[in-house]
Amino acid sequence: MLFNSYEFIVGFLPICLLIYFSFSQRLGLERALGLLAFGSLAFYSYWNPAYLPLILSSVAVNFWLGTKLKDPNITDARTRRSYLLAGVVFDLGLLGYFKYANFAVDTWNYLSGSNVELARIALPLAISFFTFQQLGYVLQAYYGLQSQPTLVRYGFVVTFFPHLIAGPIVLHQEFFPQLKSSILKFNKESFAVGATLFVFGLFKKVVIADNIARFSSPIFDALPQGIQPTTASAWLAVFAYSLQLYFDFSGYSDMAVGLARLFNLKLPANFESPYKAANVGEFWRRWHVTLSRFLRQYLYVPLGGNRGSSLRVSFNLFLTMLLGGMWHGAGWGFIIWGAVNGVFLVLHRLYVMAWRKRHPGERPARASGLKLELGITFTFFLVMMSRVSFRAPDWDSSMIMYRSLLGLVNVDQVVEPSFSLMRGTILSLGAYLICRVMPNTQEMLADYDPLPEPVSPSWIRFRLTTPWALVVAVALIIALLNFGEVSEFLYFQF
Amino acid sequence: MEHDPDQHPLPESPAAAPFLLRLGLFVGTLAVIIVAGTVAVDPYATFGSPRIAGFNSLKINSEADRMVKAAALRQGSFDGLLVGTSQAQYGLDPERPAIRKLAKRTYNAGLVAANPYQLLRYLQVADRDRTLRSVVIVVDLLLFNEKEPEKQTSFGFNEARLPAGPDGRAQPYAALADLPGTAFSLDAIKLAVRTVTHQTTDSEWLKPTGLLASENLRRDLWSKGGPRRAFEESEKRYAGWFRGFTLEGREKGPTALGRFEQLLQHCMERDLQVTVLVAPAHARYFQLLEALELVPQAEELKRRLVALLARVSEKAGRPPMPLWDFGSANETTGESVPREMDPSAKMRWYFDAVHFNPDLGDRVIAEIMSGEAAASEGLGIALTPQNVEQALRGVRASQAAYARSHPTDVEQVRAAVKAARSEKTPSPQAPGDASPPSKE
Repeated sequence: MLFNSYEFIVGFLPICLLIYFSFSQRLGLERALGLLAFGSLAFYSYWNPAYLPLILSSVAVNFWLGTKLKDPNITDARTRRSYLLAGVVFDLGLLGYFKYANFAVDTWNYLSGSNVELARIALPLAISFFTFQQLGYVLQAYYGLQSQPTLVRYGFVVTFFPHLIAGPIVLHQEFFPQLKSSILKFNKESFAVGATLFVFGLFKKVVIADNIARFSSPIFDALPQGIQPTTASAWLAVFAYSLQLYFDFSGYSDMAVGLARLFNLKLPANFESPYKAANVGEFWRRWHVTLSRFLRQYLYVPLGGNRGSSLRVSFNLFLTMLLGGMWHGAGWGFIIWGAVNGVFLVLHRLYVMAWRKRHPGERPARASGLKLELGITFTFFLVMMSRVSFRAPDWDSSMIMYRSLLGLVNVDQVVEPSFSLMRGTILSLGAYLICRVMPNTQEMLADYDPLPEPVSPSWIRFRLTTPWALVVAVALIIALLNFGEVSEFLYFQF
Repeated sequence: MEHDPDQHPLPESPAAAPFLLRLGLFVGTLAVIIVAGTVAVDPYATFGSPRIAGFNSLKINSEADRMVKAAALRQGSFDGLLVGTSQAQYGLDPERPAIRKLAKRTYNAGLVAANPYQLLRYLQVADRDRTLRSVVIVVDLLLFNEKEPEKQTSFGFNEARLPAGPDGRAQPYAALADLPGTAFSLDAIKLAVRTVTHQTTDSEWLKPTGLLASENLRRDLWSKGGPRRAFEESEKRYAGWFRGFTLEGREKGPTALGRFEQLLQHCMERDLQVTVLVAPAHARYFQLLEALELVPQAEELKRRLVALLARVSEKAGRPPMPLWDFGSANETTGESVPREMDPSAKMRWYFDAVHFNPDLGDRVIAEIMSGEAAASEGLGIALTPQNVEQALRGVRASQAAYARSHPTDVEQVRAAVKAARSEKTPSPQAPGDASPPSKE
């Protein structure tokens, strides 16, 4: 059941809200959360109930390991480390088996020329997200950053349907403190803010992302057949894809944040206007924020983080991005994409280090004017170009695309797109302008604290007024009218 | 009493309640206006709204023929049914005299780019109340293409909208399957507006009888280059669709011919009067198959169909059922195609190499009913296991004669095939730009 489907919007969601708020206060916090967790599992099972045992066992094992790690009677460091190790092995093993086993075997067969056969393993929905979510919990329990939750609360936080499928990945310590009796009462302000966030996210996904995809997907999808796009259509496809990805995933994230808010809960933001970033370092602080945060805390810092020699720090940065790329999927395209972005980050860091050497004691200030514009444009360009291997189905397809982008095409062999390049360019530029000029959703709703942390307000400030009610209503109607063919969110595949 | 910090209420602005109320009112009002408009115009003819002349009486062909026809079959009761691909959809008019003789209330369930499974399912829907008496099945080589696995969902086919499932189990909510798309979607609004503003000028109209009225389509097709250009375009397109064509079924799963047998068996079990005919395409279509080296496959298909019809009718204890073949070249199917790209030029029986108009469709049905087709002067011939080889030789001879007397036409067909072959795989299409083969 997708957030952008009638089953969800007029079926699951209202029923879930009605049942929850009808009984939540009478049931009390623990049982009400249990009820919502039950609803979330029903939501998850709608795709494929066969994976229910998998997520339940994952919850049970991680909770048990967390209990052990928080057990005051277990103080022996070795024992605690072995519980931690068991958690890491279990979670990464699960992810490795379902996500990477086929890829590993295929790669082995390719390199060794052998013919090892492994049945195709279907990727359970949301496994990357719920595994990282729980791995974070085990690590937090080991480092002693939190108190021990009950099984119900833990299960609720992992399975809560707004963020179950594609995040945001929450830190347990930012979510558990919200679980108070006060959230059990229906709150009109929370509901209004949640509904607005959801509608804005829906609009971004259904109206902008899905329409922009028309100028990108046909080109990328045709590459495996050896169809070489014209240089102009290749540039449009790459440009449109970057915009599609942003509006798709940030739309989904806005919906997730909005849905949680309907239940009086706050999820962290995943996107902070990434296309306004003036360098790649800033970009990665604004793009998929909760994954970057996870990788920073549980991979980059344990690897040594900023400590050590310049070479060592560069290696830490590169490896973190490489593994971040691999997290997205089992394919060389993702690995290359991660590696390329790792190189970008290393180069950016070296540049910053060199600047600091020249300006001792100073902090680099954000550029302004033309320099800022150039920085933003160049950063977007780098990000856009690196995504060719991320989007292209295979290596050969990436190469076809890069050849077209560079104009290395045989004019007799290129295939003209069936859509209007002019229309695609105008719409994509319009979408890009929105990214550059408009504040992001959380900034617009800053007056109503949409996130766990405070947000600075922007020049467009949402208020609970009649004109804004009309804006939200029109956005919802336009989004619903666009429900032609329901399309999945891009990040569901990860 | 101790204060419980957990019970501390969350902030709630007094503006929240009026905001939610107004939001609900705005959404409700806008939704009601849109739904009222689309239901009143009923552009897909799925709601049974009144047809008002000059407003919504004519329905534009929406390229959603599977949905529209499923709705018509759900809502209506028919004793005659025409099934087939776009050839049937454009060429057989249930209001013409010969077809009216066949049955009083006939519906044209022809579907663009159909496959035998889809034909079977629509037949089952039409016959669910056992009102059907007569069925005409129009076949074409492309209907039996085994190149790709059976695409049961192709061109928007959806089991959920049919009142009974493939296992015969009732689907009581079939009428809801296409909601809200037909009442509350951008496509529905666009089509509703177009229906009202283009009542007499649009290219194609889907009549209440299921016929795709092609008068305006011919006008539009011929407006640039006349019939000759329309012929060449259709030949090029079909050459593309025939790429990789094969009659040989897959090892697994039902074959197209197997599905066709199921369709015939259904007719036998329900004691329906069945007519199976090979569509009277223009003689240039045979030349197209010749250029594509598909004539042996076309002949093989006829042999298999003849054998199948004989076997099925024997099994049902009925007299042998012939296959009516209108594939030979004669004065009608060899109607002269204007040499020049002349927009003012006209043709009587055809609007491209594949599709014939209802005048010819009615002639064909009339001949079958009177048995004239078996005569040498007729348009076609009734193929039986006994005469099939001789008849196929006759078709080949007539087509060879056509080729000799129409060298320019043959040259044009070959040029179209060459052009289609030199094209690479069809260019990538944006989802909204994909045109089904109906738009010839």
